[in-house]
Amino acid sequence: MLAIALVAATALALAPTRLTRWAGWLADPVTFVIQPIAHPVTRATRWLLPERDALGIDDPRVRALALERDESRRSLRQAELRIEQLERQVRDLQSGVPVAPGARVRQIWAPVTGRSSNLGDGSIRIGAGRAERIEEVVSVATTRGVHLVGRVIEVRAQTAWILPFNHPGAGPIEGVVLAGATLAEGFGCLLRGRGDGSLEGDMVADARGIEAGQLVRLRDEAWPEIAQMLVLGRVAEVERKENGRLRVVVIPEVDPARVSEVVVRVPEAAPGLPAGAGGGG
Amino acid sequence: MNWLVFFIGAWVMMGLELGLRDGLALGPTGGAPSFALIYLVFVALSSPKRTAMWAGAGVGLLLDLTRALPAADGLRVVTTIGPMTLGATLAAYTVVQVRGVLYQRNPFTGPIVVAVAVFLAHLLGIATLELRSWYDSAVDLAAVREVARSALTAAYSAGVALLLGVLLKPILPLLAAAFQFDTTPSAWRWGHGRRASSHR
Repeated sequence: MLAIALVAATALALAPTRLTRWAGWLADPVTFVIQPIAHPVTRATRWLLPERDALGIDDPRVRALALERDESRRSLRQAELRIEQLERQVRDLQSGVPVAPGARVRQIWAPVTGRSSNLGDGSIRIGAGRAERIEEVVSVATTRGVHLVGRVIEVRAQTAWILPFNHPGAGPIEGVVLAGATLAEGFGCLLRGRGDGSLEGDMVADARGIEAGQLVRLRDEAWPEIAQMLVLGRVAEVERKENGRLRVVVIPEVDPARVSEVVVRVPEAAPGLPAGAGGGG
Repeated sequence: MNWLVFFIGAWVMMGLELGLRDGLALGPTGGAPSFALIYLVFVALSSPKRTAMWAGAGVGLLLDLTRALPAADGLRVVTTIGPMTLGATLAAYTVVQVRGVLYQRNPFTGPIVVAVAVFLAHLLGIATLELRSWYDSAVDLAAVREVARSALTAAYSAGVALLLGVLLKPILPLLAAAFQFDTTPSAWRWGHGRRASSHR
């Protein structure tokens, strides 16, 4: 019997993923059974070992963020007003038929309930899933409203898995380093996780004025529209390579591996449209 | 061995495995103690060979099912059954094979066995996934980095095992009774009491 079990385990271990997709279904009940122990222990650990980036309300960085938030709100209101005016113009031009009313975003708060049993995988499990209408690939997780945590890569009944954007397995990610106050003074860069939490990559050829401390935001068409311009981190190091290009090291302001809760941004299409279809023309 | 007690113990240790690893992780290295494999070594040190190997397969299966390996494209999760099942079974088998020559009164014996068992279990798991990545495009593993992380995990687990050994020493007889372990060395050395007595 043991020999049969081991042969079966060997066959399953070596079987291609397309033949073993059903294994994912077994994971949910196992997780469900283990959660009553794992979750309280995780909470207790977080209470005893608080996040390294926990900041007090009086911290100047928190005040700076609050200012940034207020400024963003103001910009958002202006942008909404402008969009409203433009949509009205489009409707007028198209005899009242709106084209691509624009993807709306639904935000769902979810606690981080665990991680992969192999920490090197980097995946984070959250306590929200299909029941909250979270969708794979097109949904992203954020924290503190503007900081990107990662992409939702698998959704199950009550849980979902997120792959942090700074994990090497997440692949390259395009960002824009804001060398000034506006996006016009931003320069693109292609970053890749180094495995220690930071990201590294080359700037575009004409980049100038890049310094340590500058904010890096996401601008990557491979990521959903609702994730664009979320904060990736700040430039920590800048060096010029032999070919003249700048190479930057970016450190996330919030370590995705240490967050205890996230806000999942899910694109919500207008009635009648499938989710994620709202951004198209 | 009392399997009901084993399953309750496995449930608690898997809870600690998943709940504590995040907080105890050594920064970005990802090295963290493996409570489930420490538990497996504890069981394998005192169980008959086949029982220990079944326990290894069970613990390994739980580790496989709670693992979320990102696919090579970074857009989904691959759940694998087998790599850690085989790895933990090999770990249990190794413990059974070497326990006869161990001096178990030395407090460092257990932790050293834990280090070897944890490293072996992970090594076989990594080797299996690496082999699979040759023809399965969904699996992509940085094998060298994973081996380094496994070595760190093994050393860290040994440290935790040492601490647990000291803390739990007063209740070890109680645990042995609950698990219904046969504590006579010859019993676990040869697997059957009758055969053991014939060797004496």
